[in-house]
Amino acid sequence: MIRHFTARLIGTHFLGVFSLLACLALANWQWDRAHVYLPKIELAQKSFSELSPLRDYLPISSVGVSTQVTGTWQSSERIVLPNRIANGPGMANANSEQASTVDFGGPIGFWIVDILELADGSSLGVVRGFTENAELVPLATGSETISGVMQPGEDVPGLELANGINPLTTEMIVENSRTIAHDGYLIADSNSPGLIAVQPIFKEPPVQGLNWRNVAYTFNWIFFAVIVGLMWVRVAKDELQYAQLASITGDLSHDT
Amino acid sequence: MNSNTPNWPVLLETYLMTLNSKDFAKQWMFYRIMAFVVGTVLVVLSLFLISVRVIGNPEPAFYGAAWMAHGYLFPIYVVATFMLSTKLKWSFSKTILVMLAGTVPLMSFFTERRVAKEVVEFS
Repeated sequence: MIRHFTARLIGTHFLGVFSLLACLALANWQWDRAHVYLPKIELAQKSFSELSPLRDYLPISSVGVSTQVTGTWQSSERIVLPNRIANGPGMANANSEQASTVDFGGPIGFWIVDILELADGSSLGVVRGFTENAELVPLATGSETISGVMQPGEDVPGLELANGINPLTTEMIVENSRTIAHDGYLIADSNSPGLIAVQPIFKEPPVQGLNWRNVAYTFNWIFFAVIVGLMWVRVAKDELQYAQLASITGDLSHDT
Repeated sequence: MNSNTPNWPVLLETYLMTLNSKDFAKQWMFYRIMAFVVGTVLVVLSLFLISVRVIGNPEPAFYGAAWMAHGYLFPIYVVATFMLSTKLKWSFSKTILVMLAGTVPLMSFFTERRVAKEVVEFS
């Protein structure tokens, strides 16, 4: 009698199902990241909580949408981004195939990014403005209501900054925040003392189709899932073959 | 010994005798090629990774595509390792470790050398 439910076989099935589901979940995740779905672009002002769900990526449909947010400045840390201009779109390198050195044709200075701690305990990176001398800008303190537009991290696929500018990423904001941080950042549209308001790079949700890299990773995981499935079948067949051999040999020894 | 207890050494020998030696040679060669290809690609990519992330040089045009290529080569290496593991009757943990060697720069070369010794003994 062949034993179809040995501990090894049950373990193999468990591992096979788990690995297969993990591969498919990762493929689905990559597909979500690759596929930009824009049901309807609404640029009317929205509440911040509606625009930027905590513990999730900034929805593409929230990019460039006006909002207001109230919080207390975290006055201990600040991000100062050098080699920038006030005109955000002017920093984007339109043709990534060519050399990324661009003559900005205007004053080059710093973006000042302070961290605003919101009522729910989360942190939000706020680009307060542009200055040519960052040392003269005092740290933001106290509570304030800021209006502006949300932007994705500048390491978003498809965006390349000119002149080797270091991108402002969510990772940088997380590293400088004391609490859980929102993905992306807010560009304040009001003038702070000593600062010039920055023009956002994305004035509306970027319209794009599929990101080829994430699509390729999607198929990479599907490929892995197929391989996992084949290995699972092979191991299960081997286990059954062993069980069959054990059964035959057991019978023979019994006869002799 | 209980007469109903399977005699595992005999069973294993019986099973191994059924193996086709030509198949084994092909699978061994398949594993060696994939270990070399994956190892080489990973070492080259690691050097570019250091160049881009540590030194701060710009990403070469092929950088993303090359990582993608490694993403597709690695599962093939996993298949090659798995096929060899079934022939050499490796344990589960050993199989996984040899598979993971394809994700650590240079490690697949060392692993291939160790496996080669085992193959010589097996042959």
